[in-house]
Amino acid sequence: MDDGAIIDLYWKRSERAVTETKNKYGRLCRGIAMRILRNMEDAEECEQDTYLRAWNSIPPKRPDILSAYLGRIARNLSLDRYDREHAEKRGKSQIPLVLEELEECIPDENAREISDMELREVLNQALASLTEEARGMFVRRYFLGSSIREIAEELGFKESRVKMSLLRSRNSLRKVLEREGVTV
Amino acid sequence: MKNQRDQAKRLLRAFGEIDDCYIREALESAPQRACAGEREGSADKEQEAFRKKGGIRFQRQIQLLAGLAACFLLLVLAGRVLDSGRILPQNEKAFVDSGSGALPDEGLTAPGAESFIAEDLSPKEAPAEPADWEESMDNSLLWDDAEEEKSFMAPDADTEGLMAPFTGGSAPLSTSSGETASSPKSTDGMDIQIEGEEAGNTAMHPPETGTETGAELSLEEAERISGLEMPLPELEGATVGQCSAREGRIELFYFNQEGEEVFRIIKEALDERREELPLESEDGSSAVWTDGRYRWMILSEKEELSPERIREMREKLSSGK
Repeated sequence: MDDGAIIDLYWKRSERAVTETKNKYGRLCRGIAMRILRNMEDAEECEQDTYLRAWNSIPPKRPDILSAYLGRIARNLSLDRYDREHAEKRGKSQIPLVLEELEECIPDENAREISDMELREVLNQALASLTEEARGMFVRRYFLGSSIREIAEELGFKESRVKMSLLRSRNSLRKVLEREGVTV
Repeated sequence: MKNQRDQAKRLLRAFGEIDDCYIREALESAPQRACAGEREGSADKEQEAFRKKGGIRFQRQIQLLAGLAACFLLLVLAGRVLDSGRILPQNEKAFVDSGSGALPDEGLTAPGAESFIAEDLSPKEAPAEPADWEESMDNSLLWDDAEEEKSFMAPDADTEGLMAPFTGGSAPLSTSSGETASSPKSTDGMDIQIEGEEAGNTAMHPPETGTETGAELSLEEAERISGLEMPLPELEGATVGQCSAREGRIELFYFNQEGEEVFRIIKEALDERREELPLESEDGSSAVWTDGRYRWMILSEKEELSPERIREMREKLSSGK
């Protein structure tokens, strides 16, 4: 079933919408949650919560890209759960490493704290300036929470290449923040 | 002041709000191009990725098939040339009359064709024989298949045709029909050949390699896809070799004489639905600015962009020269 038809089902308040969403995007949502939480039970709960959140938000929303919409919900729910349950202590999640890497993007100097809207704009701008290859790695790492190895395997590159690309992309983001004289 | 970990967490959260097209791009499989017109990697990168994905074996098979198809085609063409050498004296008038590029073939001759022939028509004034590519269009699907196969193997077979810049402002890389008919095409859906007047007569491929595979479009089509008009500034030491587009965004790739990408110029419509920030920045490798309606980006792959150089490029973009 195509995305438009699934969204129509949500709008008609048909529970089949959830079934179709699960059939088409269940694996995607579970995968995102699993990457962040590294726990199948938690990931499945997040997946269910994603359907519930989608059910409650469509309507009034009509997502342009359903996969991205669901992926975003799954990611945010997983991060919430991660924070709540201190998954960091489990030591398997990529989040501690990701946070460590993202610390490199933050300018040292005292600067004006950027608003959420500005931050989103800066991120989109930084992403737009990357090559598709670099952007793919960047989004996989910091949106999906994929490990370096997973990215390398999925894209068919060596891990060193992925690391180098991510480093360059982080430096680009940092430069943009510095140029704007803002910090996070 | 927040500590760095809190800042990193905020940054990580903010990644959850990036544009949908970037998320989709990452969610879809790697070789697919989710955002039409997003920048394609260089031929080398694609070649490398393709090879790593195990495509090399398939590529060789295609090369073999394309080679066989090309041989077959040559034989057919040679046969036709020989045939026409025998037949033409008889059917020359009919051929001239057809006016449609039909090959001298009695089956194609219109009844009463001879009456249309001006007797004083000298051989020089006679319509030229159809170019090779025109003939090939008439031949059979075999050529199209072969052509598509060639285009698919382009990165490995011959990156020169794909990635080399235009040599000089108006000199196309490959203009002779014989060369271009067999020249490789871009393999991905977003490489677009600049052609037509606006590109300074820089067509790289003959007409039949146009939109059939969806791989190569004119600048006009790129502009139609993006909904934007794009000036083509002439930049010293660099010429436009490719462009790509998606709705609200168009991107030009400039190459130096060695065929290396040196600049990218991106024009992107600002989203009216949300407040766009007039972010401006310049450094040695990029320049970003907005003009109220569009965001412009100049990205340098090879050389440092001096402020003077950036100013010069901005002026050219503003004036559309």
